[in-house]
Amino acid sequence: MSRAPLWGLWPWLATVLLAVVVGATVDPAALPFSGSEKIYAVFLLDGQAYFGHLEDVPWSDSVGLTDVFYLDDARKTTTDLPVGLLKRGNELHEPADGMRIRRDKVLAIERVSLDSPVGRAIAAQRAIDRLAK
Amino acid sequence: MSQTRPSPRRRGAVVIVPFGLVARILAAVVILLLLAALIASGVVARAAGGTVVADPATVATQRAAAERDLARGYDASTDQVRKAHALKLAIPAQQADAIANKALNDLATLRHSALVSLGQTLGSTTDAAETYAKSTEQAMEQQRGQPQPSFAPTLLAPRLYAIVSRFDQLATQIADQATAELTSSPSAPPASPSPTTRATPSPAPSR
Repeated sequence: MSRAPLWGLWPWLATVLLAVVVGATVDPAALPFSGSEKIYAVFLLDGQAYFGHLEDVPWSDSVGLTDVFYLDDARKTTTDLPVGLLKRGNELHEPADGMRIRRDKVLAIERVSLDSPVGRAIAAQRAIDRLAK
Repeated sequence: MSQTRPSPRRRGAVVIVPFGLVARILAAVVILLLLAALIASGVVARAAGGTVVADPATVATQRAAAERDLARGYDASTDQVRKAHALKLAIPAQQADAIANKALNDLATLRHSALVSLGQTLGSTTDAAETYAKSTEQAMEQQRGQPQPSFAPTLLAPRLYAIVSRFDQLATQIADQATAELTSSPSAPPASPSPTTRATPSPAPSR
């Protein structure tokens, strides 16, 4: 009696499942298909902060951010808060595919709450972008 | 004569491991490490998690905050011009009236342009944005000087922030220019505009 062909797949499926668990042990928030969007704040040693989707590969000497936003000094404007949020990509050189930050320049990496002012402003920007299409 | 039989040589246990099995184990370990790193990097979570988009109520809150910011900037600039105009000026009254009226008209035009840009950014057509701008201007004039209810501070979305900051920049230029002209001595030449001033101020973001 021959074994079912699917039996041969089990070791590989177990490997993948184990990899997911091990990866999530390193960063539980990175578990796929769990929870909502993850936006991270990367604070640099010089005081600048960037917000976006984090790509933190262990063997790299840099961390990656895509869909990047950052704060602007808005003390001379009449906005409610003394800072404004800008989307990276509108600079003169129009960076196209995110940014990479040297790991030794990073002071802290924190998860952004989606209910925070930054989280809501980013979500509103996406809604506005959809309205404009 | 006795013959001694050579003692049988003890053979150690030999485990034969098929090369195919070793290769499969190594491949599994490599895949495990690569996948674990990929999961930990957040790439898979980002691909699977999607993005959060604000609901209409949040967008309405953002629009109201932007309107508030524009009204605040407009009030500050017009107050600056009116206060400068109310001073005892060295220039003739007719000239002072002309300077103040021009500045106030420019500020009103600027506010209108900002509101049209705001409407268009929020998805309105050109005609609808014009209607929205006019009705909002009327509401702002009616609410001017009246006590405003307190609002939770709102961080504007980048496109709305671009409109507000551009409006503030241009309104400040207009008010400062008018103040400088109003407070100049009669013999002094009129203050020249800054090289960065646009001929037609528009607070619309460039992108």
